[in-house]
Amino acid sequence: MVNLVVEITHPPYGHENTFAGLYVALTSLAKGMNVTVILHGDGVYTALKGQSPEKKINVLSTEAQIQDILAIGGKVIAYRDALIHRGIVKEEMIEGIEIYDSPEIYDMMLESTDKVIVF
Amino acid sequence: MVKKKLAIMLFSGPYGKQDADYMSRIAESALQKGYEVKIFLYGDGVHAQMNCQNPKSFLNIGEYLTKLADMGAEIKSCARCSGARGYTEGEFDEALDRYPSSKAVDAVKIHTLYSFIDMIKDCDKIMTFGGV
Repeated sequence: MVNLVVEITHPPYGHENTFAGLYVALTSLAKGMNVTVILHGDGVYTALKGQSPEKKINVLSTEAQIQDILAIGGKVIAYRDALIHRGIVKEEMIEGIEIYDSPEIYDMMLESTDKVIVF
Repeated sequence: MVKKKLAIMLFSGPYGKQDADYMSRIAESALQKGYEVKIFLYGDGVHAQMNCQNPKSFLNIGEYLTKLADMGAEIKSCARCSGARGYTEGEFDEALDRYPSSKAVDAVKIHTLYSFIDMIKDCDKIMTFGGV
């Protein structure tokens, strides 16, 4: 089975990157791949729970996309350092997102990842 | 000998950034080296498919994609992204295996995101341009 990493480096709104990347992750899961989403840099803002973009900017919530990914067996990881830099704590995050230190992510990328797509 | 399969995703449009130019040159080089090359245009990357591009100082990306297709590359673009940007004209045409568009070059088939997922699954290597 293909082990795919989708890396999200942009914040959830203001760019299409996060929506597009999570859409690829979800579709890849539906096609039977092992998918891990890594939230990196400003991508960790997507980990915040209680997002409500529908009310103001009328776009799909990336929180809902993350929940769909987790619900069908995807894994979502946030870089601990990126969270610390931005003052985001675990209690503010969507349930089910795991926090990894950089060495753990490097090991995963090198040892159990076949393909990486960056958004 | 079995050809190595290279999948490429382009996420940014031509000219404003160099990604489309760089991607096309790498794809050409891969084709010359015997790779099987599949390219997917995603997000603003779908603008690379626009007909009648006429840049004065840059490589014409629409023409370059046509050249790459003539060399054997399979090039598809996201229907959802293409629809949002006004390229698609009507529903998916089974016979043509693409969404109809008079605004896109023939070399690019406007298709579903599933065709990109198949490229990811099937390739030996994947390269992404314009995502960061």
